[in-house]
This record gives sequence, structure tokens and C-alpha cells, in this order.
Amino acid sequence: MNRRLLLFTCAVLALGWAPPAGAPTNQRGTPAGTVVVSGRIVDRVDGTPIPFARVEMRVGTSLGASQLGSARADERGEFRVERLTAGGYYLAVAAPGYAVAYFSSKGSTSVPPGDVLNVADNQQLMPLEIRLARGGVITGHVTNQFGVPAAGAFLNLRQTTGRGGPSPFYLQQGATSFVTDSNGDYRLYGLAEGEYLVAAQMLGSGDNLRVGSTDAPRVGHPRVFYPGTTDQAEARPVVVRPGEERSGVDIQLRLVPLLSVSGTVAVAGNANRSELQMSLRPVTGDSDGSVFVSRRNDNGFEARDVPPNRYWLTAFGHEQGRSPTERGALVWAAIEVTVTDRDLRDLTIALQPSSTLEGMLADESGNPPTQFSVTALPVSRNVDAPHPPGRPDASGKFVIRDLTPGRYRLRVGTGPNWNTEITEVEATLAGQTLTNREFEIAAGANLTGLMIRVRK
Amino acid sequence: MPPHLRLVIAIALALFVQEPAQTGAGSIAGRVVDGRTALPIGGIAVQLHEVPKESRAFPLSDYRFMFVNGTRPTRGQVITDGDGRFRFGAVADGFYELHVYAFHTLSQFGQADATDAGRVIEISAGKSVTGVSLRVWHSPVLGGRVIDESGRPVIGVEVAAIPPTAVDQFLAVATDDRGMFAVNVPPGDYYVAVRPETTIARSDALLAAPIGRQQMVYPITFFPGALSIDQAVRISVAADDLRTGIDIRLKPVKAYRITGRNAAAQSNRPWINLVRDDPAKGPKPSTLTQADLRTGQFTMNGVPPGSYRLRAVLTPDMPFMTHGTAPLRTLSPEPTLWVDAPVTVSDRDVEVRVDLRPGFRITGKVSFEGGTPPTLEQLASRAIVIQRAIDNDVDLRGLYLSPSAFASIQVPPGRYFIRPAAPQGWYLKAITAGGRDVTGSAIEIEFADRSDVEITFTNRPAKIRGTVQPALATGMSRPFVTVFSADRSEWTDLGQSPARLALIQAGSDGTYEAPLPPGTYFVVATDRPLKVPGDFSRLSLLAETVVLADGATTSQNLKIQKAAK
Repeated sequence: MNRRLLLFTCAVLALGWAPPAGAPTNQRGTPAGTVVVSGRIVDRVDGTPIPFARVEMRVGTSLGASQLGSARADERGEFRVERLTAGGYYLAVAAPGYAVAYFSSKGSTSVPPGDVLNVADNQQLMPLEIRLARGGVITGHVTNQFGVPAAGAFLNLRQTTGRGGPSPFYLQQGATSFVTDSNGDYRLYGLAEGEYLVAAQMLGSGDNLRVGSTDAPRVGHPRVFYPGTTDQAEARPVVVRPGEERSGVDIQLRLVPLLSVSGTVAVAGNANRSELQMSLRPVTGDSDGSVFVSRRNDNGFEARDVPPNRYWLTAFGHEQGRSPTERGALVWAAIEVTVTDRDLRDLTIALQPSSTLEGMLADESGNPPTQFSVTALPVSRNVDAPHPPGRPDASGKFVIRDLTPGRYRLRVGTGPNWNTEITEVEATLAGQTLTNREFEIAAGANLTGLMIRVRK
Repeated sequence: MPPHLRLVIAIALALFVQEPAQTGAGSIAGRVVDGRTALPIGGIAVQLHEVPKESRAFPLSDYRFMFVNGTRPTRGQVITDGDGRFRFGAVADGFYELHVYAFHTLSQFGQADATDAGRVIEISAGKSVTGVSLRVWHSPVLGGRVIDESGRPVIGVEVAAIPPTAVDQFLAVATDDRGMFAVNVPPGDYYVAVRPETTIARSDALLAAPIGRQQMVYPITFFPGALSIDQAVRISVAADDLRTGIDIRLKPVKAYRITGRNAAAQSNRPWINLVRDDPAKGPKPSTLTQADLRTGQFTMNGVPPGSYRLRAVLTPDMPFMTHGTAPLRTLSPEPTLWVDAPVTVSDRDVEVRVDLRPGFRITGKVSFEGGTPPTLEQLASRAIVIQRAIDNDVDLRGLYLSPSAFASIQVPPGRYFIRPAAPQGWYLKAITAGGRDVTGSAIEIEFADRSDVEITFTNRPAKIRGTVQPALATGMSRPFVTVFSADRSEWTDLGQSPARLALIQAGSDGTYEAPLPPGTYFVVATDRPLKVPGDFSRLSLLAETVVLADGATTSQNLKIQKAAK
């Protein structure tokens, strides 16, 4: 029974299609409020009503944030979500063949999660008009390294434009993840207009692959981006317009050797070597291509099963503090390594001291607002190490320690929550105003003279 | 794309490849070729499986799937090169099979055609076997298009390929934005059905445009357009078949609303299900829709005319069940509330009154023969599963109250299999109810508690063992031994884990062995796994009859019989 279910589930998951999950009226168990949200769902181009679309309303932006209302449009495209409590909601609409649309203050958008729709008790809201755009389609053919159709290859689609924030909705009409059929063909549909990177990869074929013979060297199946590169930076985006079908997005898979990268970390000063954290991460693309780095007690390290690519090899740790419970300053190391067709051995990476940023925080009248803290959010950097926020003292002076080279954006807020960020802030460094409140730290450099003014 | 280019490559189905180190001196080398065109296939994964030396028994739940899903241990995997070649080195002496997994189709070395049993290759004295030709067939494809009454594509609706002999073991896909579908299946016969009901089950009927105020829905529709499986057309496909044009037009039918009232009930599983009255006639889920009983009233929309049952089983809280093994910690004094009422929808909305009633407990004695009984502590980790005979949809359990007594939570009236997990070192000997042997059959719970059930374990089980002839050699099929009850009444109602059934893969030396509750059995050796219980009737004529006595080991040598494809 369970296995049959599993097979069935796989079939549905593989299609990346979530069966409709709405309900004609309020979800069961919903606390009954008095607010009604109603509206009409129409085709963006010709304005004709779209029947039976699904509408979901959620609070918060994390995936699956609690659903507080859902409805199904009728045959005239009209919907009504009743018994809502007052508050702010995100609203999404899905209909077969259309791209998912989200409520926005200007109408509707294909960029999740859209804008918050605020409703108050007993408020009579104007009916909404949500315009859906026909979903775009990308089709193609995937072959293996010998040109044979590759059945069951996993397609991965990522939007490079108009991607927006996280979506709290499961609603997804088309497929953004899909496997090729037994001909090696795939069809991704219901896509919002935009620019996409398409990648294919053989997954789950075991981690001990050899070609031709068990004596052959081990190989792996890398993710291959259209039109045929493992480097995301060389991927060619596919532009999809509403309702447009882009065919011929063909990808040939390949097998690559799996290599080893090993060496030692030169530990300076009194850094706690057992606490060192290392990573091997592709220079371009996302962390999907990261390889686990194992460490030995003698400062040696090794990453196995590394596919050819350009990587940042990084390490960071902390010096020993004055007491066993206190952590000292952060030390870090980063080198770029290029893996081609052979193992890399005897690499040495040397730990370096981290940087500090010193500044002053003041409000408009020059008083130190001590309830605030200042955080440096990484925009781009190679070593993904944590650093504590700066807390101003009674005079408004603060220090952010443990920074590694890279670009950062200053955030002033009262807590870890995004919602408490203060945006009315002007930051100057050595008299120069920082664009977007961004600044750069070079290796070994310490920055001073930062001045932050908060407008209340 | 021409069919000969449709190639099958082992993928997710070969997910759990373990690879014990090889230490032998032998090797097996050859080529993978297309079963039809004989052209080599590059880049396809070939797996080497060793036939274990010792015999192994499998639970029914695993047995049905282990031959298609590739989870069996393997001795290694090689991707063929551009010329389709593969070579396994350092192969130890023993018997091996070569497998290629594809979409629900397994190709094995030695098959004369895609439905033939695979053959073994023997490696002895470190020899090398070369020139092996492994023929691979494409799994058949059933393809078509689903449109609505006005010819528009129906997007994202589930289409199932349903084997007539096992309607619950269907394979399903969803239609794409053109309404098109293509489902890969093993060779065989199928009904093809569009199942809008799978969306209804999520309380979201696949609505059609209403006619005036009349609600319309699309019902389950079998190719070529039948509303019942009796009128469905069987489609027969062989390997390499690409069957297209399985087009199905959905026609809306009138739909009605069932509204119900009930005494509000609190439970972690407060659902009431609307199920088709004759689930045997169609694929599961036979549940059309579900509603919540907690508020005291419920509505079920979009129900087409037909005969249904409203079923609910509200059990007390129980520990989360994984792999059917979570034992209860205590016996809840809370009642199990249930209802099982017929409801017919003809041409109007229906109002029902649902009376939830408490169920009945199954209690009885437990005895341990042949040694000191285990302690209650040892028994606490063992679950007693009360399995409903009509379906597997409800979780009902019991527990050991002491080493000599057990009790279940309340269960609704019906037929149940008692499936007690044996403690370490003990074997189920018999289950009786009112003195009648129910080890291999279900017990009846009528409108009363039942306290006459006795479960007996022994530490000296009855055993069957023997040797299968002729001895395994290169070019032969690996033997399977099936031991099943000689009582035909136990074939129709097997339940999920039948006690009187042993499914055994014989060891490479031809021996087999299994403990079983005492009783009379048929035993048969076949060149491939049996269809359970479909093959029982035919094979009982070829089988040996054995009587297994308490505490005794019975020997029975067997000759391999040809099982049906």
C-alpha cells in the first residue's frame, strides 16, 4: 500500500503539479471574522472571465505560511473569500494554463508574493480584479553524453528576472521542476513571463558511477545549463513572454571526472584549529554546487568528489579568547582554485585577521539612539562567516568586528526581524555618503569614521 | 520522435544502489543492445546483482514491488560506454543477474522477450565471462489527450493506467497544458481513466460550467468514454509499443450537495468520507470527498448521482505510526466513534443525520508456549495491528496488557485481521476466535465487544525446508518458493501481511527455509515471482501439499515450475 502510494506520489511530484487545494468556502477551522474579499478573475489580454480559478490568502511570506482563506472562482470568474479576520494578507490566484498571479496595489503581478492587502473589520472592500496572463511554455530534448535520449533527467528552472521575494503559496499551475519522459523530452508550462535559466541533471543514479568498467575512474552527473555548460555564468537565459512557447531548448548531459582537493590550513596565532569551518563553493552560480570539505586534526583538509569548476576554497575560525568560554577574533582564509582534470594536492591556505568597522550612530538631534543596533549584511563576499552586530555605547559609538573582505550593506534596526529595520538612515564614510548604505572592506583593512544618522 | 529512439535509462528507480566491495578474481563483460533493433545503447546503467547464497523470505508488501523498483542490493553498477559496453571486474564466485531498470520496466540478462524471466550467470574459480549480450526493451507508452465537452484541453487532471487484475496498482500522470498525457507502463493490459475525483477528494470538485443553477462536475471517465469500469475498453501493450490516440472527452454530469448534521465530535482524525459503495469496481481512492465533523455540520459539494457510503472512524489519540510498528503506550478509555451509512444521490440535494456511535473492543488471551514468556516490558515495543479487511484506510491498534492478555481500542463493526508483532525469538503459532482458527483469515466484529480471541506464540516454530531442483546453473532462472495456505478461503482475503504465506527467494545452492504457523500448505517453486494471490489457483495443481506440525521441521524438495508471465 505504502509503496503504491509512493509510486503514485512520485508520478505527481515528478510532474511538479500540485493538485488543486482550495475549497469552495472558508478553510475548516478558520477563526470566523467579518471581512469579505471578493473579486473577479479575467484574462489579461482580452479581459474575458477565467472560470474556476483558485484563490488563496495567506499571512506572512515564508513558504506555506498559514493559509487563512481560500476560494474557488465560479464559472463567471467571480470569487468571494468570507469570514476573514482583519489583517494583512497576501493573495494568489492560479488557473490551469495561466501563470500564477499575486495581488498588487497596482492590480496584479506575476512577481511573488505581491503586495499586502490590508482589511479592517466590517470594511466593505471594492471587488478586486485580478488579471491572469497565459503561462509561457519551454520545451526541449535532453540527451546523454552519447547523444542517446535521456529519460528521467530532472529539469531545474530558475527565473533571472522579476523573481521577487519568497512566495508563501504552494499554488503553482505549471511545472518548475520536471523530469524528461521516456523520449528524453520535457515540457515546462504555466510559466510567468520572464527570463529563465534551464538546467538538466541526472539524479539518484547512485554515487559510484563508472563508464565502461568497474575499473574506470569515478565520474559524476553535473547539472548542465542550456545550451550546454556546467557554469551558471555561461548559461544562456531563455526569454518567455505570456503564452509564448519556446521550443528546442535542448540540453546534452555529460559525465565529469570526480576529483580530490586537499592540503593544509596554515594556522596563525592561537586560532582554535578544531573549530575551523571550511567550504568549497563554485565561484559562479549558487551554493548548490558546494562540496563538503572534511578536516583532520593536523590541519589537513580534503574535499572528495569534486567536479571540475572554479571554486572558492575558504576557511574561518576564531582565536582563543581570554577565557575558555570567550571567543576571540575571527580569522579567515580564501583562495580561488580551478579544478580541471586532476586532483589538487598540497594546497596551503593561510588564516588572516578579520577587519573591524568603527562608527557613530546618532539621531537628527545628535543624540545616541542606544536602542538600535547596526548590522553589516553581506552583499557579496567569499567567506561566509558570522559576525555580531554593533551595539552603540552611551556616546553612540559602535564597532562591528569579525568582518571578512567583501561588500556589505548597513542595516539599522531594533531586532533580528526585517520588519523593524529603520530605512530613514543616512550613512557617511569619511564624509562621503554611501549609496544604498553599501561599503566595501578589503583584506586586512579596518574602517573608521562611519557616521550614521537616523531620522525618526 | 520515431519509436526506435525512445530509449530507457535507469534513473531514480535505481536510487538506492549499495555497492559492497568486490573481492573476487572473475569478471563479467558484454554489451547492452536494444531488444528490437540489436543496436548498442551507450550511457545506460547496468547493475550486477548477486543471488544470495542463503534463502530469504520477503513480506508481501515488499515482494510486490521489489522486482520493479530496484531497491535490492547490487554488487555494482556500470554506465555503458559509447558502444554499449560494460565490464564488471573483481567478481567473486557465485551466481549473478544483470539488470537494467527503466520506467516501471526491468530488463534482465537472458530474457527471450520483455516479459520473460531473467537468467543467471555463474562465476566459478575466478573465471571471466565475456560477450554477454543484455537486451533492453522500451517500456510501452499509453498516450492521448483529455478534452472537455467543448473540445478544450483539460489541464492538470490525473490520468491513470489501471491493470484490470489489480485496479489499485495503477500508474498515474497529469495532463499538460495541451491536455496531453503519456504514461509509461510495464507490458500488459490496462484500462485508462481520467480521475477528476482525485481533486474532489481534496474537497475541490473538478467543476464544469453549471446549467442554470444546476451544479455540474466531471466524473471519473474510462477510455473510450465510459462512466463505469465495466464498460471500459482494455488496451493491451507490449514492450516498445507507443500507443497514442487514447483520447477521452469528459462530459459533465449533474452534481448535488450532501449536507449533514452530527453531534459535534473532537478527534485528531475528525473526517467523514464519502466513498463509492462498490470500491472493487474502480481504482482507489474510492473516497470522493471528505468533511470535518468537529462543528456538528458538514457539506459535501459536487457529488454525482450514485450509491455511496458515509464512513467515519474517529479514534482516540495514538502514537504516530511508521512502518506499521508504533505500539500503543496505554489503552485509551476514550471511545472510537464511527458511522457507516449508505447514502444515495439521485436527482436532488441530500440531507443526512449522522449518528456517531462507540465501537467495540477486541480482547483476549495471549500465551507463550515452549519457554518463559517475555516480560511486559519486552512486549511493550510490539504493536498489535487491527487491520480492516475492506481497506487499509483506518489505523486501529491494540496492545499487550500483560504477557497473557491483550486489548484493542474500540473498532467499528466489520471484519478484521489481527496482526500481532511477535517479540524477539517468538513466532506466531495461531490466532483463534471463539475456538475457530483465524490465523489466516479475518474475524467478525458485530455489535458487541469480542473477548474470545486467543493469540498463541511459540519459540519452536513449525518450519518448512528443502531443496529446489534442478540446481542453479548459467542460463537458468533464479528460483522462487511460495508457501501458501491450502485453505482456498484464505486466498481471497489476504490482508496486508498474511500469516499463512511465505514468499521466499531460494538460495543459490537451491535451499529454502521458512517458519510458518502450523497447518496445511501448498508449496511450489517457480522460475519467477508469483502473482499473489492470482497464480495460487493454477499453481495449487502443480504444488506439493505439506502439513506443518507444531515445533517440527518438514522437508520438501521441489522441482521448478514455469510461472505465468
